[in-house]
Amino acid sequence: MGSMPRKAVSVKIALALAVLAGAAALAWAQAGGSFEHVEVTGAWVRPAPAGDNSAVYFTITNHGAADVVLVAAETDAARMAEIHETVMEVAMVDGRLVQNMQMHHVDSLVVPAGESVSLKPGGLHLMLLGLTRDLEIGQSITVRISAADGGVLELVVPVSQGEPGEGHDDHAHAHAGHGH
Amino acid sequence: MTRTRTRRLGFLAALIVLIGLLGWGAWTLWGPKPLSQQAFHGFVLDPPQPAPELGLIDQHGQTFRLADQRGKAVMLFFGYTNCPDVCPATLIYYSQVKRDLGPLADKVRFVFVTVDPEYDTPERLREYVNRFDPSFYGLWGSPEQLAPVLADYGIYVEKVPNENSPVGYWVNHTALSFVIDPRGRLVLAFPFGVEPQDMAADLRRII
Repeated sequence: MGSMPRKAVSVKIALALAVLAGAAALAWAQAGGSFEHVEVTGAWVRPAPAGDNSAVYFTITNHGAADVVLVAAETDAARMAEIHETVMEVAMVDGRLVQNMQMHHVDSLVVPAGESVSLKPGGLHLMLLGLTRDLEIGQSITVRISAADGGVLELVVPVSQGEPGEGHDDHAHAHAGHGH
Repeated sequence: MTRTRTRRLGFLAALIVLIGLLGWGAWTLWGPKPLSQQAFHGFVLDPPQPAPELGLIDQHGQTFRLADQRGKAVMLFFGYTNCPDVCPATLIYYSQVKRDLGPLADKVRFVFVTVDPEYDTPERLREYVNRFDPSFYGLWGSPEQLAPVLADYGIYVEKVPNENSPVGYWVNHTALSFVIDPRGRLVLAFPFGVEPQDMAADLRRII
């Protein structure tokens, strides 16, 4: 009879230790961040007036050993930022060439370990919905991208029309931060 | 004397025939070919069809008719001003095509037609087009005016509700660029993503 509560207590302690270990691991992940080995290049955002939509483009490279999963984004320049993908379909319909452009909301974007993913016109982009101010060439905006593990990547993105030599080869100012 | 002359004449005739043959050969090899046999970066519409008339209002309130553009090629794209990705990317490409063409760009009209006439207005289109190049045309028509144009060009338009979009939706639409030659015929269609210098190369062969 007396051994039962003791066993329960030891299980509880074991559980508590496991939870502590888990919390410690989580804290470490946030401090190191899933963005620790991530490099962002060629970031730019399209000029547009307040109230309109715009889009942010960049190439993200994961030099780490684990996949990085982008799940959310926010910016100081728009009400909302969402990862979208434009998909093109070309087909012949009744002897006519038809091309449709569909835009889809992407819930999570995986940047596989050791690989790069490019957000570029006509493909993946970070859509800015409802700009809160005019975006003019020469200005820049701040974008914070969150990973599934709570890591946050902050980017300073120049406003540009994305023409060659304009922001394409420059490294965006990026730094990894802690979770919310 | 006559014999030498006859021989000379014979030689001359042979030479003319030879030059003729060479010329014919060269023409066949390097002369103009039907559009369908030429290598273009866009899809060749063969045989070329008369381009359906637009008859829409431009950003200055004037009626824009293809019939008034004879002698110029027309690059035609359908989109909407709140389009975040493909429409501005296309118009940036158009401005690069124009730069690439240099003085020849005078022979090309760059035209953007709204597929969202409820939200877009000629004024909004003027502001929009000016972001890229004030010489571009931004065309608007009432939904009733636009419907036959969209049907003629096979333009698919679908409004997708989205509560986060400032206007409550975005629009999925056809993203082809159509090329109308200086005779008013629809000759090429570029899918999105063809490089500006490649579009310019195709245009040079049409204008």
